[in-house]
Amino acid sequence: MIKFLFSRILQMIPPLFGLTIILFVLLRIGGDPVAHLVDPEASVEEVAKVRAAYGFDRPYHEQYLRQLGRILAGDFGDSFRFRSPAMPLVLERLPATLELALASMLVALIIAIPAGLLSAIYQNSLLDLFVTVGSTLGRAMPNFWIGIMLILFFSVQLRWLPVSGRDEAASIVLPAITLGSSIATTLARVLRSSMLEVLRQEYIVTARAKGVSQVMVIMHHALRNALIPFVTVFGLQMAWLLGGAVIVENVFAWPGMGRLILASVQVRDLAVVQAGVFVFALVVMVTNLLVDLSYAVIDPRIRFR
Amino acid sequence: MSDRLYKRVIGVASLFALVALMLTACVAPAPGAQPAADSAEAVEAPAETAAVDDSVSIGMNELVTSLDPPADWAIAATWIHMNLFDCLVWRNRDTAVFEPWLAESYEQVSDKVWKLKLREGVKFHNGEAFNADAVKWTYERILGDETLITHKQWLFIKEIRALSPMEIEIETVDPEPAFLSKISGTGCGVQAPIAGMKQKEEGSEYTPIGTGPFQFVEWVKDDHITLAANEEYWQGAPAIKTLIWKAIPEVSTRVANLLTSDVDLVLSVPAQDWERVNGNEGTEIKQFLTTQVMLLAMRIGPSAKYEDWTGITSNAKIREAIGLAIDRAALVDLIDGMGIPVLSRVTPPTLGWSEELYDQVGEYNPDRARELIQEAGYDGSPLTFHASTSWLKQKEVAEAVTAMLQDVGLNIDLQVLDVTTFREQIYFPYRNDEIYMDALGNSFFDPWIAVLSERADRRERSGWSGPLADEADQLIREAAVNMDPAARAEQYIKIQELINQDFVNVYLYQMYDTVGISKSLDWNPPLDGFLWMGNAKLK
Repeated sequence: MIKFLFSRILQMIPPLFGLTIILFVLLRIGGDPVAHLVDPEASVEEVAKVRAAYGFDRPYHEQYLRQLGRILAGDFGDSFRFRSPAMPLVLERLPATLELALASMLVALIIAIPAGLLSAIYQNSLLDLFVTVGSTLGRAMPNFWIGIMLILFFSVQLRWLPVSGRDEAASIVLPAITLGSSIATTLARVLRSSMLEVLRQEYIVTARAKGVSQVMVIMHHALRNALIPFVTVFGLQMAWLLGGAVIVENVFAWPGMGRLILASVQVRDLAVVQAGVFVFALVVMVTNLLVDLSYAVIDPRIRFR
Repeated sequence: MSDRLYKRVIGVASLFALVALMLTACVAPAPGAQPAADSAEAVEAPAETAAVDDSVSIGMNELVTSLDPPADWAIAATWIHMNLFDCLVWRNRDTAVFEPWLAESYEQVSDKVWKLKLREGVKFHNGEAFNADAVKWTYERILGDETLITHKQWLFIKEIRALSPMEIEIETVDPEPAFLSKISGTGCGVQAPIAGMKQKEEGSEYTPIGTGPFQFVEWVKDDHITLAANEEYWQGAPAIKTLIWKAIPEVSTRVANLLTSDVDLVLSVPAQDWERVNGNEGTEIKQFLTTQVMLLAMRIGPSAKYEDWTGITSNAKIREAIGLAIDRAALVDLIDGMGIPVLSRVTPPTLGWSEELYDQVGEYNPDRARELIQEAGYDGSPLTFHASTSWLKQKEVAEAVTAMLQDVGLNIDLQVLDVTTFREQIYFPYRNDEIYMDALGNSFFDPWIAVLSERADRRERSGWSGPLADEADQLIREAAVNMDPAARAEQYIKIQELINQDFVNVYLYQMYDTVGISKSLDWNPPLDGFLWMGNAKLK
C-alpha cells in the first residue's frame, strides 16, 4: 500500500512539470502582460520601460527557466495586479472553492443516486424516460444559463435565497445546485447503465430465487457492485467540477479560486494563473488518488501493489 | 418485502433526497471576512459597523487591485480611493469648476510656481494631523517610485517646498496650464506620513489612511471592501455610516442584486434591463454622461513599430470618403440614444471644446464618398477594421459602420476581438491596420490628453505626417505650456480642426452610461458618474 502511494505521488510530478510549460506557452507567448500594465496613452518608450522592469524583454526560454527555478523553490512569483505573492492569494480563496465543490458533490450525489437507481429499476418506464431526458437536457444547458435562471426564480421572484456572494450560509445553495446538477446528469446515467448490467447477472437472479427481498437485492448485492464505475466517473468529474467553478463563481460572485483565475487570465497575471492552475491540478490528482483507494473499500477483493 | 412496499420505500427515500438537497445550505459554514492587512491596527477601526439602516452597498464590475491611490489608475479604483482620501483641489463634478479642498486656497505665483495654503484642523483617520509634511511625503513618494503606475503622471512636479506647517509651494518642470487638473488627478489622495513611513519600514501590508469621508474597515480581495463613516470628517460626518463595495462581475447578477435590495447602486445597466429596473418597486435607472468618445482611428502611414505597413487609408480621398460615409445619427439610434454625436474628442466642459464640433452629426454624404473612392482609383483591396467588445453594443456599432462603408463601395474586413486580444495584439504592439474603433476618455477634463497621441513623437498608431501634421505638432507643444486659457483654447480648437481636416480620426459619439439605484438612496450621478459618496443620504 505504501509502495503504491509513493509511486502514485511520484507520478504526479511529470504532469505538474508539463503544466508549467503549457501555461507559460499559452499565457506568455499567446499574450502580452505589458499591455495591461500601462495606461492607454503610454508611449513606445514607456511600454518598453515597463517591459524591461518586469523582465519581459528577456528571451522566452530564459523567462521560463527563471520562473521554473522560482517554482521549484516554492515561489510562484508576485501578482502584477495585486503586487503581492501569488500563492497566498490563491490559497486565501481555496476554502471557498473547496466548500463549493464539496456542496456541489453532495448535491450531485443526492440527485444522481436516486435518479440512477429508480431509472434502472423501472427501466423503460415513464420515470426512466424522465430521468434520461432530464439528464440529456441537464448536460446540454450551460452552467451560466442555469445559474442565471435559478437567480431569477429563487432570488428575484420568490426572494427565498440570496442572489450572490458568500455573506450567509444560504448563499451556497444556488451555486451548489448549478454546479452539482450538471455533473449529476452524467453520474445518474452511469449509475443507471451500471445497475442495468449488474441486475442481469446470474448472482442477482440466484439471490431473487432464494427469496432475498428486493431492497436487499438492490442495496446489498447490486448497488455495491455497480458502484465501481460510478466512483471512477465521480472522481473524473472533479476536474470538470473545478472547471465549472470558474464560470459558476463568476455568475454568483463567489469569492473562490475560479473567479480569481478568470480575472487573472484576462489580464495575463501569469503568476496567479500559474499558482491557481497548479493548485487545481493538485486537487484533481489527490481526488483521483482517493478514488483509487476507495476501490478497496467498495470491493474488498481489490488489493494495491 | 413486497414490490409495493419496496416502491414506497424507494419513493420515501427519493423524497428525503430532495429535502436533503434543500438542506445543502447548511453544509456551508458562515464565512468570516478576513481583514485585508495585519497592519490594520494602525487604523483606529470603528468599534462596530453602523446600523444596517445607515449602510449602502454598491455593486461593481471589479474592485481595486490596490488601495494605494497611485498604484491603481483604473476608474473604479479612483472612485473607491476618493472616498478614503482627499486631494488638495477638487474638481466639482456638477459644475466642472476646481474648488479648494485640502488646500484652502491657491495662487499662481509665476508660470512654474504655485502656492497653496492648507486647511487647518484636518486629521487623518488614525489621528495624525494633516499638514505640509503630509503633502510633501505623499507626492515625493510617487515621484520617487517608478513602479507606481501613476508615477509618470506626476513628473510635471519639480519640487515641493514646505513654506510653513500649513503652506506649501509647488514648482513645476515647465509652465503648467493644466496644473489644477493634474494635481487633482489619479493618485492625488494625501496620505498619513507617519503611519506610511512606519508601514514602509516594517514592510507590512499597505493600509489606506487618508482624510476622506470614509475610513477603511476591511478588504476581501475581488469580493468586497467595507468602509465606515469618518465621524470627524472636516466637511461633517457622512450620513451613510457603512459603505460596502461589492465585486459582482456578471451584469445580470448585479441587476438581480439591485432588484432584491441586496445592493443599493449598480453600474452600467444594459438597455434591456431598464424597464425591469424602472418597473421594480423601489429602484430606478439614472443616466449620466461619461467622458468617453467612440472613434474610428485611421492609419495614414507606417511607423517605427509597423515599418512595412502599406494601406489604402494612406490616400486622403479614401479617408475623407470614410468620414462622409458615417451616419452618426443612425449609430446613436443603434445604441438606444445613449450617445451625443461629436466631431471631436474634446467635450464640454473641457477647455477647448467647440459648439461646432460638439452635438453635431457632421456631413453624411454617401454619394460624395462614392465619387471620392472612384477618384482615388480604389481597386477593391480590403481594409482591415479592428474593433473590440469593450463598450455598449460596440460589436453592433462596428457592424453598422462596416455596412455604411461597404455601401459606398469599400471592401471591409471587420475583425471584432475580445478586449484582451485587441489590447495585446493590436493596440499595444501598435499593429493597427487601416481602421480601428475604440472609446477614449478624459478624466483630467483638460484637452492636453485628448490630442497627445497626435504629437509627432506619439504617432505610432496613425503614422500621420505632412504639413497639417507638422502644424498640429507645433500647436500641441505650444498649447501644453500656454498659460493664457483663452489662447490655449483656440489652439486646441485649431488642433482638432487639423485632425478632422486630414481625417486622422473620425469621431462618432460621446457615450452615456447608466446606474441602477434604489429610490431610498438620495444621490445623483454627477457629470462623469464619479462615485463620491460623501454627500449621499438615505431617504
